[in-house]
Amino acid sequence: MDAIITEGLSKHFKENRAVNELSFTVQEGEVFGFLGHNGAGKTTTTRLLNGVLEPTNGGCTVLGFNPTTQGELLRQKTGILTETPALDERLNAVDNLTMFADLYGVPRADVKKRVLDMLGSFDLADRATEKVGGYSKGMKQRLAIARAFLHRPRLIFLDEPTSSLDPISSRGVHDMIRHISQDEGATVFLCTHNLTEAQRLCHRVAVLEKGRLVAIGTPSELGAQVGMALKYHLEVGESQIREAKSVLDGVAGVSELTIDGTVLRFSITKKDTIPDILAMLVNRGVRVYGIEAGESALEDIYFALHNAEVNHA
Amino acid sequence: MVWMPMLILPILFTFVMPLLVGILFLSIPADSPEFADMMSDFGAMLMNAPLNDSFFASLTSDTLKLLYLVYLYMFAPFFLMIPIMTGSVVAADSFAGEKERKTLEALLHTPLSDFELYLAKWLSPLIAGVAVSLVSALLYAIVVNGIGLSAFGRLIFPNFAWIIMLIWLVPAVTGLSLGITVWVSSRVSTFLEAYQAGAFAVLPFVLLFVGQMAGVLYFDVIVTVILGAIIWLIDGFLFWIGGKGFSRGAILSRLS
Ligand SMILES: Nc1ncnc2c1ncn2[C@@H]1O[C@H](COP(=O)(O)OP(=O)(O)O)[C@@H](O)[C@H]1O
Ligand SMILES: [Mg+2]
Repeated sequence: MDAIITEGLSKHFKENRAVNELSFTVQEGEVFGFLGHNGAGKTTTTRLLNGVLEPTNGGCTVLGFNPTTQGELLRQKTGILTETPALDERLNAVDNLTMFADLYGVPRADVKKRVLDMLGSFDLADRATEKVGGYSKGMKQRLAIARAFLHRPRLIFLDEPTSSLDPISSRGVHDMIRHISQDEGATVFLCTHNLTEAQRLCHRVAVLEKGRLVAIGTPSELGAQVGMALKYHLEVGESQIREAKSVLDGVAGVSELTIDGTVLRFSITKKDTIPDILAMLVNRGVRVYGIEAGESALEDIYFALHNAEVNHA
Repeated sequence: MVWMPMLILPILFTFVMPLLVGILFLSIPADSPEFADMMSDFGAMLMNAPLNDSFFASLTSDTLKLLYLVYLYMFAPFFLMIPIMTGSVVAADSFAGEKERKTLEALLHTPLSDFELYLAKWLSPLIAGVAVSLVSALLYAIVVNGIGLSAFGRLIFPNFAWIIMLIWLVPAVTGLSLGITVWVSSRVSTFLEAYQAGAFAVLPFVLLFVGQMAGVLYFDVIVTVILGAIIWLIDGFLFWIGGKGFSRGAILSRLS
């Protein structure tokens, strides 16, 4: 069954078309990335999908419910991490979770065990009775995700779960997301503006720009669909830069080649080109000290998409 | 910090003031010039209040009459300020304060219906206001009877009118202050603004107090019941008005 189906889903705030005719489906069990810059309409979409806002036009079916008319039933089966963690900072972790366990109708007898289990599996057990106000950002975020998952929802919305976190805390959150998806089998709707995060975690990604869906597919499909370049950095021996450059110049599909000290930066369109390039370099006696994939940014997708549009026109 | 006015006010009205008044009255001899001064200041007004209270009529000493009036009648309006302040603090905190703490959005995403959310917003301050009032009354009873028992020879507080006030008027008045706070906090964005507006509900009771001092109004059972009924009606109206504009979507648009 599909977890989410939207058809022409739209929300206008006066003249502003915050969400503009979205049509897509999310399969059950999928980690679905919802990618877009600030103001693209990600948060508004989660509110529409969870029945907190009513659409201006179009509609959606979420877990088989109509969010507008069956919001209370739907929300028993969904969990959400809102953009700000929205914890009660005056309470400790146990009380924060217990309050929401009650609100989500977790059976009284199970609440205590469930709360302690969640705190344990998300690495918060040893500070469970401290006031949340004193937590680090990463801990608050983990607690807020634990809270969203307390009642074992079948679908969980995560609204920019790592946008204010340092890399180590982000990794903790990524582990949580994998756990929720792989071990618990829940569907994850992940809003993010971080392309790398979406590529690493998501089965499929939708790209949103100014309320409109501009691309959708698996991360690799998306790369192909928009003809997005893959960036690489290659480090070779100091005296062999020219040699390496002449090898790369001869490979079809290599573009944007620049030299920076002993590092050559270039882009390719297919991952498969890399082993070929390495084999050729070794054949020519070039000593390769390292090769790594550069990170692509959301801009690259937009850039590629707009280029494609311009080329079409 | 938010809770300070909730504690200071009840302690002042139910403990410090009645204690000081009791000690003062009982320590001034009835034939001294100081007592004559006090009687001419405001005692005479109270003495002339048209009370229907047989115990009061049976008292012979002016000192005891005055102390009885102060304890059982003059403090009543002060008492009504306790649930007003408590109700408005808690209501302002739960409507506007939540906005500041940003905890509200998470609540909007729970399975609670719009009506349940709204009801919860009313119930918690209502319960808090009534609870603080009842605890205050208990404290007041200890002070008043502790000072008055030997002087009056019996327990004087609470009498029937006070019991009616505590169970009928106090919840109504709490509802009034939080109804105003709810109505205002849907239009303002900070806790402080909402709280200040809620405190406006105190004004009628300050006027009532002044009126009573002038002997115009006094608390007896009938007045209490009628006043309570009127306030309950206003509460119902405020609850209905506040509920009309209360939907998740409407709250969200004020959040951002
Ligand atoms: N309650 C609201 N009232 C008016 N405009 C809003 C409201 N919520 C969002 N918007 C507007 O809708 C657009 C999309 O916002 P949002 O969904 O928050 O984007 P994102 O989460 O992708 O950053 C923005 O232009 C924002 O200003
Ligand atoms: Mg957002």
